[in-house]
Amino acid sequence: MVVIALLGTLQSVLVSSLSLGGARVDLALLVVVCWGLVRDHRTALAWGLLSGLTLDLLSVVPPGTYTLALSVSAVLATFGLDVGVEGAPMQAGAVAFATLCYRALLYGILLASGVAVGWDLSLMGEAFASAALNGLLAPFVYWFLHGINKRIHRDLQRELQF
Amino acid sequence: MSTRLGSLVLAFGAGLLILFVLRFTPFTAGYSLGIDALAPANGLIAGPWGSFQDLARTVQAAGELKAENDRLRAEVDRLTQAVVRLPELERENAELRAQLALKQSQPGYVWKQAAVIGREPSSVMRGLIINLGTSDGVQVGMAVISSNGSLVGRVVRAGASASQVLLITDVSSSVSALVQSTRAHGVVNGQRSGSMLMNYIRQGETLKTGDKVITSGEGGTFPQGLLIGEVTDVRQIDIEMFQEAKVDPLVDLDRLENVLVITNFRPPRLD
Repeated sequence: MVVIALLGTLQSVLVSSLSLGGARVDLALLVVVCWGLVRDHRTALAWGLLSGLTLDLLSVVPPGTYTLALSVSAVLATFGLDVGVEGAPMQAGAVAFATLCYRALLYGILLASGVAVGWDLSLMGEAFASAALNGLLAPFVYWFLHGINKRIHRDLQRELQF
Repeated sequence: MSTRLGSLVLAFGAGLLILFVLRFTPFTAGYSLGIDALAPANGLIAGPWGSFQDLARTVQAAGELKAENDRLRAEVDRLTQAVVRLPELERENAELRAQLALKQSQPGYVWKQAAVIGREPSSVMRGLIINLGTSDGVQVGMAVISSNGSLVGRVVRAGASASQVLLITDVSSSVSALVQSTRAHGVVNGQRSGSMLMNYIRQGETLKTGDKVITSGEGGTFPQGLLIGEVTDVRQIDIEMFQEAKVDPLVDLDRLENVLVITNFRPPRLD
């Protein structure tokens, strides 16, 4: 829970100020999807729900927007993939796909909620740029989370032996 | 007892004798000879002893140097902190001066200063999180301005100790406005680019770049007379019913660190 709260806070305080040519790192989405690739889609769903809830609390969007968008896109990106997806292209592709789904869901939910979105080409450009940026960072985040997962398993096995 | 007394007398007498001999007899020359005999020995001891004294002085000086070094390092640290703090103090000074000027120009408003503690997590909307909430008197609908009086947005959600502010540059934001110089009315909407567009300006109105745009107070959402921004471009086509003007905010809303919440103005509730 602490990690999830930290993700939302980091996203709100630090990452929201970082923009690379219109592309932004969706830190919560990146971590949730990569963790789902390390584990399974059920883990992605659980983490997506909790992270999305944290983001909703820190946002002016209608309540539930981030929760729904993050959890659904995380499950879509990780569903059907085997546990421990090896290969950077696969990880990058999954995260990029999740980013596009995430953005589409966000805008769709806002429209359905009656919030003006301002459709223009820059919206699509921003979505693709963010997908590319998140995809580039995905292998590094995956490698880091994979290491943490191995450590957790090792510690659990030691405890079981005792 | 008698032995001790005898030794004392002997020592006293010998000493007097030597004193008399060395001062008042020709044996004073022997005194000089004695000094000459002893001098080389002195020299042999004095040299190393001098070096030892130098070493001792160096060690003592090293201790003093270290103490002075520590003192100077602490001084450097203190001055470095002051140098780092100085721009912050200057910024705070400028902000307080701006607030004072604002208070003098808008004496009717009561506000509370809030720090910006977070921003919208993604780019789908534009918003801020401030560190004041209902326990500080902040309520939904209150107008939020910058230190120089520029409109920033309005409170859309208020918790006990923090609130969320929707910026005027958000696409879903609409502010009833007028051009300060010509009193031309219009509606200012946020744009995805971070700028704003003033719509529904009648064709007969004359606008030019640099005109200031302020809130008109119509609709009651915002108080009248708050600065929104400056006209940077005018789009006027004769065949259209209205003309448009691009309005840029006078403060960088993405870099705000402190804002003011106007607490003595609330929009009327329609329910």
